[in-house]
Amino acid sequence: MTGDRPRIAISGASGYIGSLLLRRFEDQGASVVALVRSRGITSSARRHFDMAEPPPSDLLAGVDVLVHCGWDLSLVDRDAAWSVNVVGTERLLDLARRSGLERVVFISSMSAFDGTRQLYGRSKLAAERAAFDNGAAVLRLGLVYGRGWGGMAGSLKKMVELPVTPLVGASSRQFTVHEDDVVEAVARVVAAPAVPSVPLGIAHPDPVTFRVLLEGIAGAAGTAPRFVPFPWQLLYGGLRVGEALGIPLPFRAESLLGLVHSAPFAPNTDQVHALGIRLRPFELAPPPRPDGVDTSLPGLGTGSA
Amino acid sequence: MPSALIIGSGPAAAGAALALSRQDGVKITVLDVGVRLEADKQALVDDLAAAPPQSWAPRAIEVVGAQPVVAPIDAHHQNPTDALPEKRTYGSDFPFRDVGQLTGVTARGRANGAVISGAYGGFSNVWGAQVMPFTSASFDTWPVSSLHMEPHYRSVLSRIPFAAEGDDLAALFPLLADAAPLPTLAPRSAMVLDAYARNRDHIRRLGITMGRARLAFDPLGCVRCGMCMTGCPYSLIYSASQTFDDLRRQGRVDYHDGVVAFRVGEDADGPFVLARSRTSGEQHRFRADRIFVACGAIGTTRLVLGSMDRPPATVTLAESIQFVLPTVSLRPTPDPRNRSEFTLNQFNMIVGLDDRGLDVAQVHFYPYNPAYLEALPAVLTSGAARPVTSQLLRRLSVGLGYLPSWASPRVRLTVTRPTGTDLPDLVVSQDEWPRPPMLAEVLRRIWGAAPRLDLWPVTPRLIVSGGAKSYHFGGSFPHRQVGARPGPAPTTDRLGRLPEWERIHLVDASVFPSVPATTFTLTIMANAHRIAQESMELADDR
Repeated sequence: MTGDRPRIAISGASGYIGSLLLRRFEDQGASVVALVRSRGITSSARRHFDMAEPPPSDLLAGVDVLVHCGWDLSLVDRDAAWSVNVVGTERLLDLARRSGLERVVFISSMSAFDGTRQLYGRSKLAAERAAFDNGAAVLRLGLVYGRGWGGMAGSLKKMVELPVTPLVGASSRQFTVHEDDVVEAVARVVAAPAVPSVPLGIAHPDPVTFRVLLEGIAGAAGTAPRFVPFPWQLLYGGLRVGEALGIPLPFRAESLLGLVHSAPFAPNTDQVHALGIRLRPFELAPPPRPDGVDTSLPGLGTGSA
Repeated sequence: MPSALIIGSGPAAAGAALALSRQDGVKITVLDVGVRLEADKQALVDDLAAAPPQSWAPRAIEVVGAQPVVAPIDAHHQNPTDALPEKRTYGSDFPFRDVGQLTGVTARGRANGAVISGAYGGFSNVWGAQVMPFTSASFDTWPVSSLHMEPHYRSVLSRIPFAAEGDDLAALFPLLADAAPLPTLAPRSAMVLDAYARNRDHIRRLGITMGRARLAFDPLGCVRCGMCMTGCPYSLIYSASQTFDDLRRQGRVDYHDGVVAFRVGEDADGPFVLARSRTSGEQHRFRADRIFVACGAIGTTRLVLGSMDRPPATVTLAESIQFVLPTVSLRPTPDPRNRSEFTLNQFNMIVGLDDRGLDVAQVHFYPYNPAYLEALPAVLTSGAARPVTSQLLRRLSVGLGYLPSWASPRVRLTVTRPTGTDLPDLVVSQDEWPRPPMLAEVLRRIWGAAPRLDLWPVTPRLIVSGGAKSYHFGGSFPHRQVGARPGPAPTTDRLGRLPEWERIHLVDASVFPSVPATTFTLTIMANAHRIAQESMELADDR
């Protein structure tokens, strides 16, 4: 460790969660190394790392903490997605173990639960096993929402902005987490003296129905969606066909499967609580009023603590 | 007098013993389960060894030359229908037999559970005898460079039989020691290597390099009786037991068999081993200045898990996964059943996906042996089909291929019953994985070379073996990077020491940071040799 502050490497640092964490740790004055896929300029704060390739043996030299957020969601071929993401994770975490890192945090998903049918969830589960084998902490994030509009929330925002929003699996229940709470949870896990070897559900324990979720997102986006109930199987089939034909789509078939077959509960919330992590229930602020007055929720908006 | 204790008698134990025996005044004790070939079969082997093949009794050949068998379905064998059968040595299953060392180990799914040998010599009683070093690039992720390993490779090669020849493989895999030439190759092997020589530039552009086998085998006494794969009657194929036979004859080791080690640890008096007699159950405590654990990667892992204060609930091992690839040639050679050959691996194909010798797959090609015939569909071996069978056997070779561990699924060991007064119970399984993508690329390149080599892969008959079946696995407690501190998951320093122990060294493949697809055992011996030598040279740090 250099001085009192750990040096933190973040994989997937250009992605939604990775970039939030990068900003947070930099704002704190931490020494951060962004591990990024692009082969642009590398420096002490930016190193090239592609999950599809074996990591160079000095990738984590001088690093004390690794937060592994990297995950390639663009791959639809099962074998390719698995070999890049699961194998890439295994290789990175194996290197972290042999490099003697003090803390490794693997960003997983609430889609990873026993019995999941989704490839994404199964591959996250497999990567979680590699994480535990290598002594990493595992955080299963719920559906992340907030100002960044990234990930699934971003896809859903696009859906509610359509002239007609297909309402599939209206009663399925989603566990949600605000992006600021994610950042805070990761920071606490990084700083904790010890972290239990169980998946930590980083989501409010009370799930919301898909309809409530969409309405919340629509409210925050300032739209009034017209919902049309739609059989999810039909939409899923359509998305699969589109993916097979290579048509760029705003929503992945896999994501739909994750929405309609969601996790039954947020795991180990008592241990999350014991780490001092507090998670807010789902609520999204309406958009700022035209006069510039910010109506964000406490904790979200300008000037709030 | 400094003292050292080795647990096990397989290749890692032999590598450590070779290093220790060179150090004057070191007292060496070996603890071993020590299962041997049954006396009646040994008597038959002795009879064969005392006579030329022309005077061998048919009954002795039948017993000693027993072919591999589909092992019974039990805790250790799940036997998917496509699994490779289990080899026999001199007609015996003694290298695989459970005499306590496997009790409590079960296999799940397609995984192989017969993963800890109790035999004198360990699994080197049934190995393919292929000896090549790892490529230089393979050590990039190790805390030891190929330059550091080289003297240990040389030392080991100088103490075992070695048959090899300089060819294109030497650029990636230096010979490192004087070698005797191989016996004459089978016509099929010679034909393929001739085709390679004629089309070398084209084939090498595909990333393919070929050359002759390199074997821990004494070719000078070989009479080409064709029994290599079932146990050489003249004991010309190296087994680690030969090293221990030599060292015992010289009075350099004090060998104790019939004991199963179940605990290692350190107390105020130094390191110790607790072991139990196989027959009486009596418990013994052994002590030495340093202890070298060489029970094979999974045997050592099990012993360590049972000895740690806070063992992890699961451990994974890197495996270089195995595949079986039959090939046919259009041009026939004479019916191999009418010939007498040495039947170990004869030539190797290296498929390199990079220029550094890191992303490398290897295929060992074997000439005809009677197991081919047994593996053919029954319809081909019936009377009417005999001419077809003959034509097929005149064209058939079988490749045994390996992918590197970083392109293969991992082997998982799950502790189902923590240690009480014995070893912990383990389940061996294989992590969920798609078909390894590297395999498709390797096959594509072999197809690319097929027209020029006249060696056509029969890809519909390709078999990818289940977890832990390759026996090329390790890395449960991998060596850390240079200068790295121990993290939350257990790792070893470059002397194979876990953080909790100062004088207990893991010396087998359990400490390998990775398992390349190239041959495995020589590096196990050389790394054990390195650890034993370097640790005994340490100043007394207590």
